[in-house]
Amino acid sequence: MSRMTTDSSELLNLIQSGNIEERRDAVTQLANAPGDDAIAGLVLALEDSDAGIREMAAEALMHAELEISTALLSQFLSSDNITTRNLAAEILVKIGSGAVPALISFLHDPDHDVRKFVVDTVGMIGDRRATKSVCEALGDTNLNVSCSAAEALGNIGDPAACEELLRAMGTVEEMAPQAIEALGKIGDDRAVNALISKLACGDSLQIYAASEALGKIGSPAALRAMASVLKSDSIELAEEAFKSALRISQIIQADLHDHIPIQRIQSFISAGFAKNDSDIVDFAGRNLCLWRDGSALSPIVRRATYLNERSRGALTRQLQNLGVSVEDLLIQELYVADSATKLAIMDIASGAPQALSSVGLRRFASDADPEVRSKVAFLLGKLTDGSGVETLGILAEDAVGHVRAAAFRSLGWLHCEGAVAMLIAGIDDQYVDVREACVGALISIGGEAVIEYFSRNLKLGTTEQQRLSAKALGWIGEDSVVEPLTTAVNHSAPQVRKQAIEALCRIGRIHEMDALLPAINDEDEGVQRSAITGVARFVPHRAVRILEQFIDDDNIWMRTHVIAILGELDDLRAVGLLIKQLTATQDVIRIAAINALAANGSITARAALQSFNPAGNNDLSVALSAALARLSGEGVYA
Amino acid sequence: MEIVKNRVGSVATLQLSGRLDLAAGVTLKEKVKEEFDAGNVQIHINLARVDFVNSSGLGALVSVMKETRLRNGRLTMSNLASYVQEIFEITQLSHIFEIFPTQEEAMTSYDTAPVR
Repeated sequence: MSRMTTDSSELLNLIQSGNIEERRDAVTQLANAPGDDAIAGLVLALEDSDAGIREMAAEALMHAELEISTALLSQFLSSDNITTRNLAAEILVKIGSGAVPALISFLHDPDHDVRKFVVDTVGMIGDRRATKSVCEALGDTNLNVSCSAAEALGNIGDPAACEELLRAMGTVEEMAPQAIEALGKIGDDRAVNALISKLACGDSLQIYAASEALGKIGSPAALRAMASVLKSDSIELAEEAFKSALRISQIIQADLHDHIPIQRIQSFISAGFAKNDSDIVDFAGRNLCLWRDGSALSPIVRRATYLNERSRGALTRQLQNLGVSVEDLLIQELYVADSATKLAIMDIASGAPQALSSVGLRRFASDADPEVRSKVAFLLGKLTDGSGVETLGILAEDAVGHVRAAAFRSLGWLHCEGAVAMLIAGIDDQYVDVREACVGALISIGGEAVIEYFSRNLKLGTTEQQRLSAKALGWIGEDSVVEPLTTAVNHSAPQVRKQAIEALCRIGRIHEMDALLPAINDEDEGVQRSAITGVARFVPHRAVRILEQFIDDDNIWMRTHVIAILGELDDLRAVGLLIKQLTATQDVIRIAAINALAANGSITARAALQSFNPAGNNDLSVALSAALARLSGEGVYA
Repeated sequence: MEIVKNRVGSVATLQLSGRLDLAAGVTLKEKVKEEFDAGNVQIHINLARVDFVNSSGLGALVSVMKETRLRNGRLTMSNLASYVQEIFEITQLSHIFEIFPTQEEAMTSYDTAPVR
């Protein structure tokens, strides 16, 4: 049990207790006790041996709306403990600009660690009012402090620091990388010339930083200068220059090759190809157009697995616009590629169906890898000229199930009426995905032969075949399927009756709905529910009278189903029935009525809900609150 | 079925309403042919107000796609209601059509961004 006390001095003692519970309790109370003593106690707790207590104290200080006085800051800075310093920095950053004046007053502290802490923290706060003071710290006698000052100026991002940073970059060699980085973050054009000259300074660290900084500033003047770094013997430097040049071209919305000779880019990319550098392959994939003769296509597709999705899409678009025939090149690469690369190449070609013809694809229909054969079937389905049908016929007899499924799906896409017999045979395949592909393809093709097949099956097949046939006929949805489906509403098997009703509802021809009326009193609950749903949807003027007979049904699930449907009807008689259900004995019925009234949303329904008293029943209260929340802001009808 | 034609930039848009069946499919093909005859091969079909598609309707859409590709054009579709989306999934036709959630997104896809 925690002990309550209000005496601050006692709490300050407890903060140093050997008992962890007492210390934790003291921090909790100090957090709620404003005043300098409480703050002092919390600062003390920042050095607690227990990490949880330290975090509690830091959290409390962050929310204490502290006024950072020099005295308080002294207390923060007095610790040599790195964890305490980090927590103090976090608190000061959270406080933000309010902490800056006190922090700056420590910039001339004799302890260089304190000066560095101040510069780092001010940089993290990022208040431009500190710029002048931090600029002065660039001249600090301690290199750690001056380098941190350069970094802090970059974080503050104030262009007013630009001249001072340029001076520091030119005079203190050790500080140059930090000053260059800061200039990049500030992004001021005044730094561009000095940074360009750094590209030729001979110091790889500074060249790297200058490339990166110029990439951030995004000045066109830097693009040509980058070209010289692309020739660097250091791959790291050349890559950074290339990526910065790319960034600049994006910022200024220019084509890279308008500023850097194409040959230079191409030779750099060739070097990247040799290294299989994914960034460079990716860039090349997006910029195949740089090689107007398409000569880079082979090396790019050879590395197709390095291309990300965006670049694959970009490459696909370029294949369509290349103006030279790419098929021979692609086929050549497909012959020597491993399976992963083959699939990646086919993926790229799938968006540009003309890139691979059925003649080309046919050669890979007997590939050893079933994934490749499956992809071939997929691509052949996209050749809308139908030239792939013959090969698809072969793949439809493949030994592997998912290859057959892909072939059947493609035959459906092509609306290949000649494949109907093969697809019907495929419905008896041992693999479920093949069977589903065949049914999907037959629905897509439709036509007399398909309707005749499913109608015959609906009459003569096994019960499961009859159920599936009813479903398929519903999706085919032609006029000629209505009659067999209407007959099936009276089938002996309830699952077939239910499917036939749902199929008729899907087709939604109102004059057939009379056929559903007898099914409302079907002995099977599933059939009844499907019929009720259909009638309510298509014969709404008769729905309330029909639904009324089920609203007090012994079957609770039937009642909730009927209540939900009543809620969807735009009929005040339905609202009346629902209001009566608010007084039902079972909670589940009353909750269903609340939800249905909310779905209805009429003025009468709203009024009923607003005046409904859940009488302390928690489940009803929750449902009512949710219903009223749903209603707020919704439109109403009278 | 009602078909309202419009243009967004270089794209001919067709807004369909009602049931897409055999008769509507014939009308759709005629309307698209009119666009081809006028030299427009970038076609967008908005299906927001279509609440029923049967096999003949699907056949009409596939036929329009074939004709568009034959002319090196492009066909996109958008705003498929849940019922229509379901039949596209059952038949897997969603793999061969370019389908977008909204017409705006489809139109954006026609603005080919310059390669950088």
